[in-house]
Amino acid sequence: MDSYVCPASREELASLLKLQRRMGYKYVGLCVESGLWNKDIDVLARSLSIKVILARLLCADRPGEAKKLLREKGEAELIIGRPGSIEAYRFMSRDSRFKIIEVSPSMIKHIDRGEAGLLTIGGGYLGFDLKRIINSPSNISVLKAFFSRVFKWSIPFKLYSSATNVFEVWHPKHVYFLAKSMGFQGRKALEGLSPVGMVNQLYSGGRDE
Amino acid sequence: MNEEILLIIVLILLAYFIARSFMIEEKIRLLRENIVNMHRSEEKEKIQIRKRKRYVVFHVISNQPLIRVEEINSILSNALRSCGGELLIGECRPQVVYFSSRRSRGILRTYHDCYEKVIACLSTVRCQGDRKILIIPVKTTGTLKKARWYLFDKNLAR
Repeated sequence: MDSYVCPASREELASLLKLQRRMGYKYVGLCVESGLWNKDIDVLARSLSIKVILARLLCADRPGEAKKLLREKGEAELIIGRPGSIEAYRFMSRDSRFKIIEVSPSMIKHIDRGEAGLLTIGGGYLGFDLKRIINSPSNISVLKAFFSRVFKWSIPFKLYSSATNVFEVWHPKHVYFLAKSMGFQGRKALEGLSPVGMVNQLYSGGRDE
Repeated sequence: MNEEILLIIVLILLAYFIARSFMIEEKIRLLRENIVNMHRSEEKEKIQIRKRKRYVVFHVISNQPLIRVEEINSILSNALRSCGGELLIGECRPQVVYFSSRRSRGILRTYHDCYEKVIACLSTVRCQGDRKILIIPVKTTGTLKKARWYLFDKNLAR
């Protein structure tokens, strides 16, 4: 599953879905802000047997701001939180409505065992936007720190592309070999591309793999 | 009496020289064995120095058509230089041995101990100047013959 893509046009979305299906993805999180979801895309997704989930990225620097955003825009199936501070991270990780909490390069150093444990309360996943590596390959070190933390403390995690076109899509083999070249198990890294479980499944502890 | 003593001395000398010649022969034999062993170990080292090759079949998606092998080679070398530096290029010596512009597929040759690093570096390449590019690894094989077979395989999720 690619949890978050945000193409600019319907043509881009159609080509992106086709490519992702060829790569083996079965679920795609489409950003609500794009407003691209319509019947044609639904027909295309059905023909490709790929399930499109509406996803929303909420950026907040403070817990109050995150709460306000949730009230206003929290209707999407999959909500990804992008905290700007450790307080916002703590709030998002405890709230079950946030399925994925994205870690930025400045935030990764704050994630210790205690902070990671908060995710078990909300039942969410720690997320990493792979587009950061495309924009700046030096962010590979951030991904290495991310992998070392999630594997060390068995934190559930997700990787997503935030692709706006087909050239920003990540093949599962890219993720596999990236993890292998860093010295981690490639198969474990592929868990980051497995589908995100729905709310009830998260509470019961059984995730849709 | 004198003749007997002289005979004994001659016999002793003869025995000494015979024994010494045997000892020298033994030494020569040991030396020969050592030289043979040295040559064998050098051959073994030569075998260990020779690295096994790996052939990576890749699929290219680009907004501008790619035609020549040199173009792909320059894209790959630039990508590896930016990601792993000259050290990685020297260690892995990646080279595109075949590229089909019609199928947008090619075969990249590298070594068995660093093909993972090469693929990881290729995953970070998404643009080259004005050209947007996505390189997808299809299959890694040990022989060129097998790699050629995967050029015709349309499946990307292998």
